[in-house]
Amino acid sequence: MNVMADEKRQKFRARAAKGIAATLVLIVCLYLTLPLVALVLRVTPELLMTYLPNETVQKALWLSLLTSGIATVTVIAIGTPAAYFHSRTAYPGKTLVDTFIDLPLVLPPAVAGFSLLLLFGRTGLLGTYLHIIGIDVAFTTLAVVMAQIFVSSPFYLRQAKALFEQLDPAYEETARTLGSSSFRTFISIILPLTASGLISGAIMTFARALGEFGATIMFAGNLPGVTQTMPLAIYAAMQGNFDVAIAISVLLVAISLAIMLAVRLLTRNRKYDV
Amino acid sequence: MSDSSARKITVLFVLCAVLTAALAIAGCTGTTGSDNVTTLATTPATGGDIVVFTAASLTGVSADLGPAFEDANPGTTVTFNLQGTQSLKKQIELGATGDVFISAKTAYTNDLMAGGYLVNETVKKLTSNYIVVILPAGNPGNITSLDDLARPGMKIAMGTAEVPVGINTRTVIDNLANSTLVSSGWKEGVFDNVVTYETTEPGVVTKVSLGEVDAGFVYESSYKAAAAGSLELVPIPEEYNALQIYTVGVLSDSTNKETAQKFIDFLLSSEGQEILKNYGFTSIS
Amino acid sequence: MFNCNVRKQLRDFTLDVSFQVGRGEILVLMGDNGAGKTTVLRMTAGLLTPTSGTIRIGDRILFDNAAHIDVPVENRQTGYVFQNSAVFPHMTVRDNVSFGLRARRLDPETIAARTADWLERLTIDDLADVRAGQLSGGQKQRVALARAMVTEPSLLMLDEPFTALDAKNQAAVREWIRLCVHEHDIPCLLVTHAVGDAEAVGDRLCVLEQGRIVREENFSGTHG
Repeated sequence: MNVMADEKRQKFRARAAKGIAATLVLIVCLYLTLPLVALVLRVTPELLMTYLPNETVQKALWLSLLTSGIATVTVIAIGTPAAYFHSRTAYPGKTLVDTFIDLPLVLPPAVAGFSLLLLFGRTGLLGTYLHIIGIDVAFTTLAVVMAQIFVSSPFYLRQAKALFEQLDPAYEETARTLGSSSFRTFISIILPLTASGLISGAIMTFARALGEFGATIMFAGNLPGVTQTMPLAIYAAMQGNFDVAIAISVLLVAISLAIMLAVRLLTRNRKYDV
Repeated sequence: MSDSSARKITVLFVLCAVLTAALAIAGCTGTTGSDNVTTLATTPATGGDIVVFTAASLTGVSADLGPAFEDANPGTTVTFNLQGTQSLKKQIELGATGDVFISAKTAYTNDLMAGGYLVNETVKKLTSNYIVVILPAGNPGNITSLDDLARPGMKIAMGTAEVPVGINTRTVIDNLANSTLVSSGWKEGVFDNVVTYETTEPGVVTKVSLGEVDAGFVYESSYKAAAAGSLELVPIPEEYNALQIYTVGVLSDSTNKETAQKFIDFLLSSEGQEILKNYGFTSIS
Repeated sequence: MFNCNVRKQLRDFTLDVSFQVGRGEILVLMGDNGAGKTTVLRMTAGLLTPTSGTIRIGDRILFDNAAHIDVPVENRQTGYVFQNSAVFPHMTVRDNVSFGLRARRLDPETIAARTADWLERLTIDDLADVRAGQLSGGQKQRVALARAMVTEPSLLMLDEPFTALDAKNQAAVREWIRLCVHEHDIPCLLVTHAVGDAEAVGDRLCVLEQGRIVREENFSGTHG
């Protein structure tokens, strides 16, 4: 066996593998960024100046921020303790619950919206009774929030579940032996130790809610100022004034990018190795 | 050791080949347009296959038109790209390839003709359609006249001001508002009751069919295409109605202009017109 | 006097132990991994519920399934030092040590005084304002010990307190433990798998095998 030749061959193989890997990474990057480049290339400052102050755009922007904010806060308030109990307790059907939590990630949003309509619509499973007592959910701003919660909550829940599962139970158990109630332990030990991860999960949830389209138009409809969020405004504008669509799209991309950057920075500044 | 790394490299090569092939195929389909803009996904027609960019309001009738043409012309396949006319127009302008364009708005057809996207001599008027008001089965809003549409608390769906059905709906509402058929302040009342402006005509039909709104402005063809008993109708007199004219033409980028023209001929034939009539479209003589 | 007489069905066997630890005495629990040592500590702390039996410290009953007594973890007043010391990394050393006192809502002056006392005793007062996440293994173990002792527990439990430490720190921590236990005259349960540790720190030894005490040994007289 020629050791030298063998070594050479191995070196060549290693280099070839590296080259291929680099090419693949490049392909992935280009594929994901080029569409956005195409979008941004269509924009001129004049275009933004003309259309961003537009009343429809402004209304859509504030409605989007408001509904996504409410959706995110709701997901945090209910999802945090729920995810904690879920990851700290063994109960029958736990795997099933895990699957249900992930379901909205793979479900087409239009199906999500349609299902919400069939549940909460005024002829729906629950909506029929809500309608009798005078509550109509569909086509309201509340419906926008509900659609956003449905599609975006997995981003927070998955993150929270993972964080709580990874957290060494010794911290909370020590706190308990020291006389701390379970509530106090949750507030003063568990939350601070998982905070940066929870925040990045919440930001992802907010970003997903901000981009939500399919479930919203199905369940909440499209009414400027009431249910027309930015993605809906983009779609509606595409039917008429393409420049408006481009202007809002760029705004949405800018907000999303800022959010993702914030997540990166937050996760990098993670203080505790727990 | 070297055996496993060799295997890894093989796997990488295979992955690379698959990706390259995928990109090559994507590249081939994308370079027909003169603009170097992003190409929207459509399959190019080859042999007897044609892609018909079709106004969404023809969704119902397309299910009959396609098979009828295929039966009459063995070896052909018709694929419909059903979307709002404005979306279709944008896709064509951005380089999407297809063979036939059926438009619900003549102005958009004229734009495309001016831009060289259509073979101008092939463009014909296809059919027409009236606006009607549809109600869910059982009429939950208890709407018995056009006046009832303005009653506070009614929920109405209509198209956006940009899509053809929405444009015609507004024309009809204006015509009615100036007539003696409705009370004063009717138009404002109707618009106050709108809970959603849908971006396609089928979107309006869906919300009415589900009973989530009390009424919707759609084309007569959608009422005819719906299952019997699933919708109720409030007609709008012809003299106040806006007739939606549909136009059809062969796309300049078509790779199968022969079959495309055949399809248009079929649509304009008595057989094609009969199918359209069954779905509530009104022939243009 | 600490009395433990419990049974618990585990996956592979039934844990069934009965033993006592006197005040100021350190009982070392030894045995292979999975023999049930940590389970005994966890049941005593209230982190696990025995199937049956009783757990008492003096005349205070912590658990008695016949009498339906099961004192919640936070009211058991046991000190528990975990294997990895589990200091709260996001708090300063001072806040770590005072945690149990604040949880029990003592008045601020008492908290400050007792915390300062224990910081000094375990010579970590110069680290008081350092975030605990930045400490070395030996420092963390001292913080954990101070944090447990400051609450004046009626029983001290230590789970493998020496594994993460180098030889020099091991000796020091052994000394601290003996000092704490003897000075406060409380029973102490210490889990380890190293015979050397057991002899160096313990007064008595129980060897567990498959959930049963198979051997007992007295070290009394070994320590001066």
